[in-house]
Amino acid sequence: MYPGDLKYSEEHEWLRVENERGVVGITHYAQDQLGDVVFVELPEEGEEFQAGEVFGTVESVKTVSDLYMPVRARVAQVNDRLLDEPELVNESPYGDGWMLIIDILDASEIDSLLSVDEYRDLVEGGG
Amino acid sequence: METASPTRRYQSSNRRVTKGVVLPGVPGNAERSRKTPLLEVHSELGARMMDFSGWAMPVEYSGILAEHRAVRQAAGLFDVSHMGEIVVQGPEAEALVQLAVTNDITRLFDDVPPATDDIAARDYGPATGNRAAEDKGPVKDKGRVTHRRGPRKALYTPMCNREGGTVDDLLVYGMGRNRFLLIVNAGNIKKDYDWLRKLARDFRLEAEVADHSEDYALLALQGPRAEEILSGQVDADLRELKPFRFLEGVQLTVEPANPSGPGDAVVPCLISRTGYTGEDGFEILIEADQAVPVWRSLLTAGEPAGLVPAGLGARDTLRFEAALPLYGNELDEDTNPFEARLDRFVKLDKGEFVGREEIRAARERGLEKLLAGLELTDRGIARKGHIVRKNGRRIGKVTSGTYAPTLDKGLALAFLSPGETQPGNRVTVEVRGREREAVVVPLPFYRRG
Repeated sequence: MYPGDLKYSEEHEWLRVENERGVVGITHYAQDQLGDVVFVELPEEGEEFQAGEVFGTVESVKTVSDLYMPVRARVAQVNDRLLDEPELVNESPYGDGWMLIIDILDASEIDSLLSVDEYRDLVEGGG
Repeated sequence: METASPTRRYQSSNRRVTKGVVLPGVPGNAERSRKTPLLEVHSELGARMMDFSGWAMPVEYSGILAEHRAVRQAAGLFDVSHMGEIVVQGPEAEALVQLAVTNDITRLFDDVPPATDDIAARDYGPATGNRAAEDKGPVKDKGRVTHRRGPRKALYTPMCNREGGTVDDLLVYGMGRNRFLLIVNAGNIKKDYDWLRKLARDFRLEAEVADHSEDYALLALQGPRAEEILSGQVDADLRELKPFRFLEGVQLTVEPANPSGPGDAVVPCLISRTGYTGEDGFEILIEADQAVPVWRSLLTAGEPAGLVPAGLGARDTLRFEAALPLYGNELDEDTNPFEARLDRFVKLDKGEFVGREEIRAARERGLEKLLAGLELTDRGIARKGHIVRKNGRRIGKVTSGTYAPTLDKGLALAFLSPGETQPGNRVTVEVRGREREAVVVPLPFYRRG
């Protein structure tokens, strides 16, 4: 539920930092809240986003939800599998359901994200 | 909850902002909502709850897609106790209902002999099992136990206002020539009750209108295996119960609450072969305090056949694929039944009814809008309120849209200018600021069998 090697945002995205690159997805809690994901809309490679800016949407049968970039970044790669297999977000939110590989443009913003313990508190503390 | 511009930084709470639940409901806090008798069961089953028309209702248990598929392939059990039960009875009950609705309710009795059917004097509930004097109870006929009283009829009908718009869509059950049970949408119970009472006063009709919604629970058992599952629990021959027919006073076996206590109990119920999923199925009306044992027994009995509990999320995707209207989406006070393609439920020649001249005139003038089906050929899911365009010109608006699980497509129902509704017409739908390609397709999207 809460992999320890990740950073988390308050909007329930996760970020795995690998040197200057990162991998972004949504958390187990987020996919559970959404229900069955049926559609994911992701940006193009090369697009840049500020921290907190909407980069796409994830849609379940009954809701549409914005996706927020955790740190200022440029999109390096998009998970094309999600076009035809959006259910991967439910089945494997930290694995095959990853959404973006990003080039992190401001590494100092990583510290503003939540640690695994802070995120767990957020989710389990009635947030 | 609507967002502003896409680049606004999300600031407020710790919760993910959603752009709006596309079911007519509000997620999350259902604490101040009204409760059906089955709330404890939904909690036990881990249902995700939401507020629907002021009721705390289950959206899903195992997941909308899984529940939807179970209903198409096996069976699902729905709690629809939030719906309303209004009884109209009295010497002029038939006149009142006939005046209020667009369909011809005299058809409810066209194969029922009038003399044995008039039990208006008795005030018994539909599900209590009290039977008229001449009904001597079950009789054995070639080894099958049958009720002397055969299946009676229900029908589906819109109910119009004086402008020809739709007050509600409902089922009318012909309990007797002077007694009708109306099953109405949860969000319209008070409105329908007040409206019928007003009509009775305005037209000076001797008929009582009573709201019995609190007294009853309603379950829907839907899917190709529904008959098989329910047959094992009742003393009636369901093979003989045709669509839109119902039986009263059916004895439904329930497991005892206390396993070491007395054996199986029976609960009287009304069973109709009706539903809102596009599959075969039954709706089961029982007294509210029997809801929990009946639910539990049916789930247990049906489990080997693949029966699952199913929530309002799947109920919506199922009815949508079958192109059944949802009041508030395809029907409202500003939409007449012809616009919603409910022509076959409107009998202009039956005699006077509220809105009759207005809807006749609207059709003769040419309807302003007409319901059509759309298939999104681009990626994307159209939702209620999305604008439909043809060559950049606005031609209509989506009323319901979703990912359709059985068909594995993004589909939508929309009101379009009547001239744009021919199948094959290529249009666009504006989905969150982007025009998505779509094409008009015939309705319904899904038909069983």
